[in-house]
Amino acid sequence: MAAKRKKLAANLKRYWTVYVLMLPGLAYLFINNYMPLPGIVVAFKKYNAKLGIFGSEWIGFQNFKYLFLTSDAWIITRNTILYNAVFIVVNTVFAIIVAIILSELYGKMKKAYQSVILLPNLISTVIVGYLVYAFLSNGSGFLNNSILPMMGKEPISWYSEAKYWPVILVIVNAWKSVGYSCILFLATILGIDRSIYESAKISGATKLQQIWYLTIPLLKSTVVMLTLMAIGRIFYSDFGLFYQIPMNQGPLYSTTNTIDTYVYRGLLQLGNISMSSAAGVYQSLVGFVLVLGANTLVRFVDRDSALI
Amino acid sequence: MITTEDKVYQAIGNAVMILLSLAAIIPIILMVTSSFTDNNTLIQNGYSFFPKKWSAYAYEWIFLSNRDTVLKAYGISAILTAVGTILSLIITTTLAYGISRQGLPFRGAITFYIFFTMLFNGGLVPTYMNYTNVFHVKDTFFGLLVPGLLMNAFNVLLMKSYFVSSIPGEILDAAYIDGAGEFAVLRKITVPMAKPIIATIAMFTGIAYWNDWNNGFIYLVKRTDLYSIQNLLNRLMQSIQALTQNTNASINAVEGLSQIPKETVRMAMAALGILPIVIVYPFIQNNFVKGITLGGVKG
Amino acid sequence: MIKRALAFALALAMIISLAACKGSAEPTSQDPPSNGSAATVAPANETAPEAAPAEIKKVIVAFPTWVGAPPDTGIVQDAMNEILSKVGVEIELQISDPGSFSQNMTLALSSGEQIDVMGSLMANYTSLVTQGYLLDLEKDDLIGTYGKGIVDAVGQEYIDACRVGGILYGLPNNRDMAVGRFCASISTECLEGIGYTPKEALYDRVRITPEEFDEILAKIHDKYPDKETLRVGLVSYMQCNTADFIGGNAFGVLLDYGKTLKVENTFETQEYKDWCKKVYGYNQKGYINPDIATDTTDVYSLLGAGRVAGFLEQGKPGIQMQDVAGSGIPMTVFQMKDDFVSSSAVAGFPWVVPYTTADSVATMKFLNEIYTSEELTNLFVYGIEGKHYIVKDDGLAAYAEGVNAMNVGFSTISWAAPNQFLAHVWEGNSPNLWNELREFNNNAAKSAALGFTFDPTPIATEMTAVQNTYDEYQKSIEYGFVDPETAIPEMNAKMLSAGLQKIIDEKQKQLDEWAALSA
Repeated sequence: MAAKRKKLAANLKRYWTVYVLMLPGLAYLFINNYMPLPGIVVAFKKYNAKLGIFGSEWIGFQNFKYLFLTSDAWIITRNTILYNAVFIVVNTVFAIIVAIILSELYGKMKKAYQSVILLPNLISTVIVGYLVYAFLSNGSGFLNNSILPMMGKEPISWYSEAKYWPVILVIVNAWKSVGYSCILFLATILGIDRSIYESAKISGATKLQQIWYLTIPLLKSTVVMLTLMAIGRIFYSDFGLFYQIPMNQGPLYSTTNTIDTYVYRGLLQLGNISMSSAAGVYQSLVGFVLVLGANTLVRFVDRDSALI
Repeated sequence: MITTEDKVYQAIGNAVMILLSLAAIIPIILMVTSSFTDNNTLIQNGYSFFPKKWSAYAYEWIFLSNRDTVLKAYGISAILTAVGTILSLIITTTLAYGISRQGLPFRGAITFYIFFTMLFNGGLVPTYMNYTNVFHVKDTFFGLLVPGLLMNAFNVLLMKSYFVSSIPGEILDAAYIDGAGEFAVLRKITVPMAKPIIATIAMFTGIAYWNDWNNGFIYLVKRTDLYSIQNLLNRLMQSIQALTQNTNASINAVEGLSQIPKETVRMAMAALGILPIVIVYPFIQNNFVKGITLGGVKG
Repeated sequence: MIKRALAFALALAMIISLAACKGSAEPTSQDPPSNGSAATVAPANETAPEAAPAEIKKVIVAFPTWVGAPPDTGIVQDAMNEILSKVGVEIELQISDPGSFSQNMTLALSSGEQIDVMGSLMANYTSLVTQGYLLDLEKDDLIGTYGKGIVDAVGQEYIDACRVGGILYGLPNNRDMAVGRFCASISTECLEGIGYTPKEALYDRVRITPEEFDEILAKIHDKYPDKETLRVGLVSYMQCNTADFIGGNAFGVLLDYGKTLKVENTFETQEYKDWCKKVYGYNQKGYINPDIATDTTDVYSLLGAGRVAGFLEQGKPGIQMQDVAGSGIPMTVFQMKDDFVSSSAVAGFPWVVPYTTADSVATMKFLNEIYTSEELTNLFVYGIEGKHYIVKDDGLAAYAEGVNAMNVGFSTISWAAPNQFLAHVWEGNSPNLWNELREFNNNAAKSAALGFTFDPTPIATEMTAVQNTYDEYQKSIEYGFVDPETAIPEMNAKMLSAGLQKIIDEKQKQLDEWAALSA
């Protein structure tokens, strides 16, 4: 016990400068995230401005009721989770492939590719919605006017057929985010010591073998970490993607309604800050439990890849 | 020595990347051509890569109806992005460095403290109250700079993970034994070895600052002259939308509305929003990222 | 792992207790009097117009315009303050844009920032009331003492219509309260093309029967098959029927221009079925654009570009001239149903006094002035005469020389102003417009529930679920894309299982209570 305390004291003395270095970041998180945190109780209150957040009346879980007491609860939860799961897999796989290809390319074009595939990420979702519309609309869309007739197919009324939207949304999401997330993998690959590739080459490994046996295992911890973080947000959905891209079309709700769009539509008229806060608490709490569970699992298998 | 295998790989790789680049850029080209289309032509014929009638009126309208504010807003965006990215890099790197140090007491608890902020926050109203009543950032440049964007747990954890996996702890300990202070270790060993991730985080942060309009909407109420370009464009877009959707307009509002090229102006605004990045990005890539990415490949 | 979480929880508890202390201390520091005294210091050096103590109270006036704060706001504000100094008030105009106004207000009011007067357009009056943001305007006989002019300007009946639960939280503004139900604006050129000569219009609108309207549409569709015959969707069923939408939504309505206080389920009424069948028929005959649900192009541009022949809208005096100004082509407006003042029309977006006001007396004095002074109203609506606008010989207002809609330095949303009837009429309108609007309001059928405001908080859960269901079906059914015979029962069943009946019952309950109270 005493020895332990002594060691702690010694370590504190050794690392005190590290604490000083960390101070600005820790202070910022305190200001930005922890100071407003007590306000979270508004989710359990009947908010009245005159009484303030802390003075308002406690009403327990009443503000949460609307998230569950609806026949849509199952659909919006299912959609939110499934889309997130697919996004995690599709975006990660694509981003890794692109990163690996880019990392092995020579020449000037490499930079051009990198900037071009990043562009979609810079465009706001509203505009992406109109661009998608330009491709899919009934009257003037490219698919219905040029491409489908060329293939000898009948035009499709995209905005009233829910079944196509899982595919459309996955494509749009990948289009928007692959260029962005591949940068991260690219950075990891560039951090790998090149000498191991040289020795692999000398011992006769083909390019594909090098990628499979050297690069991908080294990306593992980044992938695990990103996945863990994505699991924490699995009950959240990108509002713009699910609201703007399908242009808020009713017939598509069965495959486009998520927790966030449901809450938005429901509360637009009510303007109730307690109820919207309740939705956030619910989403965070589920994510928190899931990510802690997943993290514990990862720690058993591979200590270094765990998030915390 | 370039082998046949290399050549095949280069050919396939280039082909794939060209396809992907086309997929990325074709819709954006459509956006730009639409922005240069005559508004009535767009209404009559829909979006097209080869519009029947070209027009730059959408851009003209944006600049005329906002006179000198557009350029100023670009300036504010540029300063905001530069200052924000630099500050953010400093506090992100120092914090990530701390939690990457294996022997640090309370390292686990501190990591948890950081991680927790990824999932929970007090919500918009409490955050706003905190920033306006306690820190008084309302209607100041700090309102754009500080709330939400200055640092996030995601980037810190990414960087920490890179430090842990790519920089062996022994090197750091050896440096410490040689008498280097923690700050010197961070500056002379960690930062140079972690250039790729630092460049990546810089890019993520820079994009986040450039694209942000939410802070301006929330914290700039009277000082709309401090609007960034995204704020300005967003305000225009939402105003036009509100005006179009309102059937109860008055006659002078209707007159103003009839002069707006409502369909093309949206696309013009989107183009104006990304234009500077398209221009500046290659330079950044050349000067800032060069040492990092290319250095990594060669070294 | 557990140890770590414990250590963290401990730290968190500390933080929360810290911040909670700060939170509970807040209300005291926000007490109105302290704010008020701080605000009064500034204009001490100005010479007082009267011998009375030169205490000028600052009143912050927040409201939205289409494009946010106009560049010349400061100049107009100074001009208004010159007039207002006689009642000891100095205002600060805090003008926002549609995108951020509502959020800015919620945030400012939640955190206790001083706002004395607020225009609730683009906010939500009922939600402001239910969340406790607003002040009772009759407390200490505030309006009776300092706001008599307001009552005279808008009339006690309309004032009473803004009560919620018997308490007055807002002041109605003078504008068109009635809506001409089921109106359609049709390109005159198309009408000439089919050889139709309309009867003479009364206050801009030609009254015909729905059957005559169907005939006109059929002929136009035959003659101009390439044009979209009728654009629906700018207004929906809500503006084209005879029901009173209690609380501004379709979930529970009073039938037949609100003659009785019996709340009915819209989706089971014959009128709703008939309407949907009618539009379904239009769609089957090809009058309606298949992209209508997704097309957001504004209808005036479509008219100007010759893409559509006409569109549905809500009628009022001056509407035809507005349509002409917007589309740039001659238009004829038809009306198929009556003019109607619904229960929620008057209290749509009243002017309110938030609880964060620094001085409610000074605020009411300002409101009294703006509701009664022509000079102030003209400044508030059009800006400065000679600089922003001019008054022509016929008494109508127009842009000053070199000024146009695009570069004008000041303008606000005129019909949202407290009392636009005091301002000049804008050119292009009938010079008699304000009287026409008054008459329009007075002659319209009035709902028996006029003045009832529905509080949706007790059934918030059901509202969110039912609203989502309605959103899912509304456009398909009301734009005629699906057969109403099967789709309406399907939607109705889903809504009932989502709690529609509970909403209807709650509306009936509140309505009965209201009726008992006002009797």
